[in-house]
Amino acid sequence: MDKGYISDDHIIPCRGPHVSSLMLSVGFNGTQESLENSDDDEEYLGERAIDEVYHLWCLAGGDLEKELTNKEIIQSKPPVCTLPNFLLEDGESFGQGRDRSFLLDDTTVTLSLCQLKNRLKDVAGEAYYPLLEDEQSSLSQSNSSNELSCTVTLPLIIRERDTEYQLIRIILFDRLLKAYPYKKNLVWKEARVDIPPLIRGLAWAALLGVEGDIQAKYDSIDKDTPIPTDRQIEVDIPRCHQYDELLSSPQGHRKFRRVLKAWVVSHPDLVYWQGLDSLCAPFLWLNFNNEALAYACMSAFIPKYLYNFFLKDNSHVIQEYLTVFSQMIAFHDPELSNHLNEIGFIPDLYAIPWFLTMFTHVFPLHKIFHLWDTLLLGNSSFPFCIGVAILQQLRDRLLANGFNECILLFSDLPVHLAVLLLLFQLFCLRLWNPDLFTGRATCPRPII
Amino acid sequence: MAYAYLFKYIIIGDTGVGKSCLLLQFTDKRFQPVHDLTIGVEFGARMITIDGKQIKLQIWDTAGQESFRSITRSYYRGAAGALLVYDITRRDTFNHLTTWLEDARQHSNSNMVIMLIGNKSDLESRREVKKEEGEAFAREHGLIFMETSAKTASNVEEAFINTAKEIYEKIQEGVFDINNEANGIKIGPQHATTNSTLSGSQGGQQAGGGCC
Repeated sequence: MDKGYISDDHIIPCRGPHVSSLMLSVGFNGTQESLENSDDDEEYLGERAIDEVYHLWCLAGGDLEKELTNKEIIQSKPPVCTLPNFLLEDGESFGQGRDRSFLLDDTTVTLSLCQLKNRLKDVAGEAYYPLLEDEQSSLSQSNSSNELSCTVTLPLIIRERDTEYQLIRIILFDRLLKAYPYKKNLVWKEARVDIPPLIRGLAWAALLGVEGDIQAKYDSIDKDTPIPTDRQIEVDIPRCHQYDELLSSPQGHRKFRRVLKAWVVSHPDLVYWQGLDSLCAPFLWLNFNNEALAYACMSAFIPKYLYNFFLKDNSHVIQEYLTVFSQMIAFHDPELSNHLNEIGFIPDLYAIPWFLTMFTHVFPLHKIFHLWDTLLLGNSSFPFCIGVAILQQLRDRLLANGFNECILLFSDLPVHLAVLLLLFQLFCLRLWNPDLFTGRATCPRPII
Repeated sequence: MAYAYLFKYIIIGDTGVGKSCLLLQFTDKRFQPVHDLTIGVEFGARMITIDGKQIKLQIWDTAGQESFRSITRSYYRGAAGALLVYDITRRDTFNHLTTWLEDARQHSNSNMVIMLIGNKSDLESRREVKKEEGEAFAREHGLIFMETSAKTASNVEEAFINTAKEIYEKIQEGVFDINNEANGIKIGPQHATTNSTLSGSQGGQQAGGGCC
């Protein structure tokens, strides 16, 4: 299935700088620029963590690659000059020196904070220290600028690129998460507004209720002893979200393998099903430097949304799930349901990859993030709503076509859906949806 | 598009042997070195011509992992042809053929044409299964055999088309009851011998592979 192998602009810059620049130490410096309140700004910004400042710096228009190119640290060569002179059948090449950008270079490059400071010059000092205890203080009140409250109503994609808005959100989430689990309720409340991309990994962990010494637990799991599932994992990882630079890197593969093995080993009653790799991908991407957290999130996610899906014999679970889904379609859209049943286009033929992987197999990562931001706020019946929302989006084309066209439509079309529209639908359906209707018999208890 | 017949195919075999790549090469004439794994089933379709007749192939590409067997079984029903694929560079995929064949025989109709395919023939240096072994297995079990490469496209067209020819011959011989859709064959709007009108074509699909 084509997952849109394009580097989409929506993809949020990863938390770290580009791989080639990791070899360098990069520092920030704003002293040369004298802005009106530069002293204050520097003080406040200086309090923030370096990854936050870097994230905001990028949002404010910073481009590390350009900076390094200007300093002639990155030198582009014409592609024809990078060809090896001699190539063996197995891929080994000769006659071409290693690219300089892959080697360690300890040059320090100072980046100017001028642009970012200029961007943030209207943010009041109090914004850096929001009051959490005062129940009355909402986002709009805690900030003097009215612009911010307007920002909340803008589309998610725009909010995620707004420097001031992200600054305020990151500070707020950072404080709430530092007070987790005590501030759990507030995390939930703010997550309903949106989740800042920089904080997403931790915010999801909080929504999933991850607690305790996860590092010790992860460390105690034997991830090295060979197990029969190894071969399958080995075959699957190089096919999982490989359009992404992090997940396709050798280090990404190694981390993938460890997290998946840890899950398999620590869940003896469940087995590895193809699709578990896709399910692991968003957690690993978000917590790339914290495997234990990726593992803990995945372990918390599965019993909540995919209870018993990974049993060795899961046919009853899947059949039951698909039956409920069929009823949902019939309930929300009898006309479409009748048509699909008539042409024999049943959920068994298209919805197994949707639910078994919670849509991680059918959408590219940047769409999964937004979809799951909402999914994680709901209970185990939310996935049905996403499924119905997808069918709703394709409704006209499904109704107009027969079996052959429908199966081909689903082979590649769902991935082109605008996620925002999907989310909107999701909420609409949710409002309509009587909870008892979607209750799953196999679910141990209602989650919320 | 108008067609005389529609044949339903199913592609089966161990995980990672190149089932989805064979399908992609056949339907799109391209090769994707990194192909997403298949969960459940995926579909492809292409029109071919046999004996001057337009035949539409509807191909069901299934998941290879052992766990998916219980789900995959329900896809056999109504298939006229099956491509049973192994990887010539991995002996274990060849060793598992017997269980795949048992599955296929048990859950499909007895006339289903099965083509045995040894894929990745471009990787001669890493070969673990001799061509003769594939031939012997096919002879023993009454299958057609071919070695293919989804990467170089070698024999891919032939594999799909020869299977269709075999099915077509069986229809001519009267082995297949084409009016029984459980056999995986459907008469299309273009077919001269049927009295169905063009408007019946959509309706004709109702019982097509769908109810499987």
